[in-house]
Amino acid sequence: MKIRMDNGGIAADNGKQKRWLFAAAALIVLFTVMYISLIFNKSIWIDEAYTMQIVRENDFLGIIKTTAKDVHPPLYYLLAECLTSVLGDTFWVYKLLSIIPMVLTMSFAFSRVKPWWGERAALLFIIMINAIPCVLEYVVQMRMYTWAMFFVTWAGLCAYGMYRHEEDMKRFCVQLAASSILACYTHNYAMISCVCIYLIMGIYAFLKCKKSGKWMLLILWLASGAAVAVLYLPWLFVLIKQTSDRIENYWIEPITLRVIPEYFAFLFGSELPYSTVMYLILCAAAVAICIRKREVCGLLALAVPVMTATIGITVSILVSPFFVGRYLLPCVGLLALFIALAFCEKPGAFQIALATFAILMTLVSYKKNYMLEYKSTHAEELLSYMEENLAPDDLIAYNYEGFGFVYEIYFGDRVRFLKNVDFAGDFGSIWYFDSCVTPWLDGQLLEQNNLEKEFIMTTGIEHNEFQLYQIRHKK
Amino acid sequence: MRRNKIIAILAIVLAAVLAIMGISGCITRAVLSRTGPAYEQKVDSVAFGFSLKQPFVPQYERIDTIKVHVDTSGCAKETGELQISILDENDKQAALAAIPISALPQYGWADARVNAKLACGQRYTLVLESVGCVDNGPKITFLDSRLAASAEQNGFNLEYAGMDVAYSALKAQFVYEVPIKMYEYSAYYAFGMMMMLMVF
Repeated sequence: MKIRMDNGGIAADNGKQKRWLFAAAALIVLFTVMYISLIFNKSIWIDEAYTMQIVRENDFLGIIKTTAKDVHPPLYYLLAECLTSVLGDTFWVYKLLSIIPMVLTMSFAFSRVKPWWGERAALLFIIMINAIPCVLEYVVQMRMYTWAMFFVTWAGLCAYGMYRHEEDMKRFCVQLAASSILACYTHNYAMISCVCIYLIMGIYAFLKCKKSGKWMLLILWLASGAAVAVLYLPWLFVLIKQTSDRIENYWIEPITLRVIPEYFAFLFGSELPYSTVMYLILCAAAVAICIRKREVCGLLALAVPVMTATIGITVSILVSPFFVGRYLLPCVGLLALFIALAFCEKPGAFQIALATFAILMTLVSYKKNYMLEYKSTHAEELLSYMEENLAPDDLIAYNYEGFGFVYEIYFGDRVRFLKNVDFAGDFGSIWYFDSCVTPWLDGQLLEQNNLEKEFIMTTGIEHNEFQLYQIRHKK
Repeated sequence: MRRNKIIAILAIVLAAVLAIMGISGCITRAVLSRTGPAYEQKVDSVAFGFSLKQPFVPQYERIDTIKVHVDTSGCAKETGELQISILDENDKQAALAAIPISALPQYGWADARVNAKLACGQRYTLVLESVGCVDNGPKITFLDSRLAASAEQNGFNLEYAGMDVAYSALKAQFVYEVPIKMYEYSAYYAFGMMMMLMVF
């Protein structure tokens, strides 16, 4: 009888396992399909155009040299170079590159979150990481943020694994070093988040070792940290130069009391009014629950974004403004883990309500980002018009200097800044993108060269509307 | 059992409250309509009774803010204000906002919070006038309406000191408060349910 009951129990467990596996896999597939549906467009903004430019114009060594002169580390651009050399240099390939780490981050639900905290925590982790409103936009952007998020989440989980699972301490130590060094070479604030993880880990390792009298954990922590420091050293000098070159000379506005609430609005703001307030209430409730049930791990996961923001704000106040809300994106995986751990032991009805809220918020973000990617700019309209009308000997002229390299991404080397156009030269037509800024097109110059201009339409690309004119030879 | 009953009652109350809020359009989001790109031209002064009028047709019912583009680099800022009013078809004032000249940017957008409920699709007139200035007051920017008119300004010209200014549109942004869709309240309902289940 007992044996039969045990068999029944095992069978029930297997059934439950299969249901969980199906649910988790289905969620990951659904979210991935959702992201993929957002990548088949050519709508990009300046930073994305910069990514394409740096990858198109450089080999691996060139990328490292060019990024050294910029503000970000090179790893993401190197990954983009690899993927585009395999799948081709098209817009969707770059966008796909940002989806890959999101899938990998969600997969931690299988390898780490479920074994350590259970099935419900794992499902909530998958749902919450997609429901934090700022995430969706950046999963389909040609930038490094999702890779940074993947590496930081991995590092955070490895730190916990190293502390908690003595039998696998060495394996997690190596993984912690690997994920941290990859994070450091992906984004400077991912590096700061990893420093925070190491600091927290160091304190806990010391306390644990002191209590047990076994110092292996602290030695491994030191070795791991030293390995990361040595491997990062070559770029540290570059970082110091990059930073010192930009003191009082960077686009980020000074930190004021008005700016700080904007960080929360960036993380949690969505098309739905009061979404920031709702997420802040959710986080406050999660903190209260973690404190009450002594869920230290959840609080430490929250400590990483809090410490990262604190360091960013302090540096910005003391040295020069270097911090904006999106630099918290690398920590968002740990933020989702914090929420999942806080609520994973709540009753089923509560978790259903939480999951429903989170999925509805994801749909709100999806709707907004679908509009952003496909409907908010004239890019597709402009590109299809130009594809129909642009002749091989035509030129493109523009007068908004800052957007020149974005136009080049779309139209290649036929793009000229207005001041550099030779109106007496040999060309079919000139398609003039007039953003209504200086320099202006000189009407007399057209007359002298027997040219006339015709207004075509008001059009544009992301963040840049302009009047499109066709300049051609008079008949 | 008692807990379940309380939660069930609260769930119904929450649904009813949100339904009423949805029907009355309590929760709104900002929707922006603005003029397009075109070279800027200036009206040198809207002081001394030389008012600038922009006929327009609102796209939504509730208009929260109208932003006009001004240049105060050449005027005294100590006294006076820029009055922005909305007149209906019978020249009856539907809204009025006044911004002290000292609060206007040197070159940029002046935000006039009008917070008015207008009849969608009907013609109104936006009137700009500087009052109490010691000189010409701020310059107001306008654009070629053939290139840049917003949906509100389509088919109209500016009127300056009673004269029609051909092919002109005020450089402006219309910020509406538009009620969110009924189905969007489901997110608030889920959040409310979650909070109730947490408390009880």
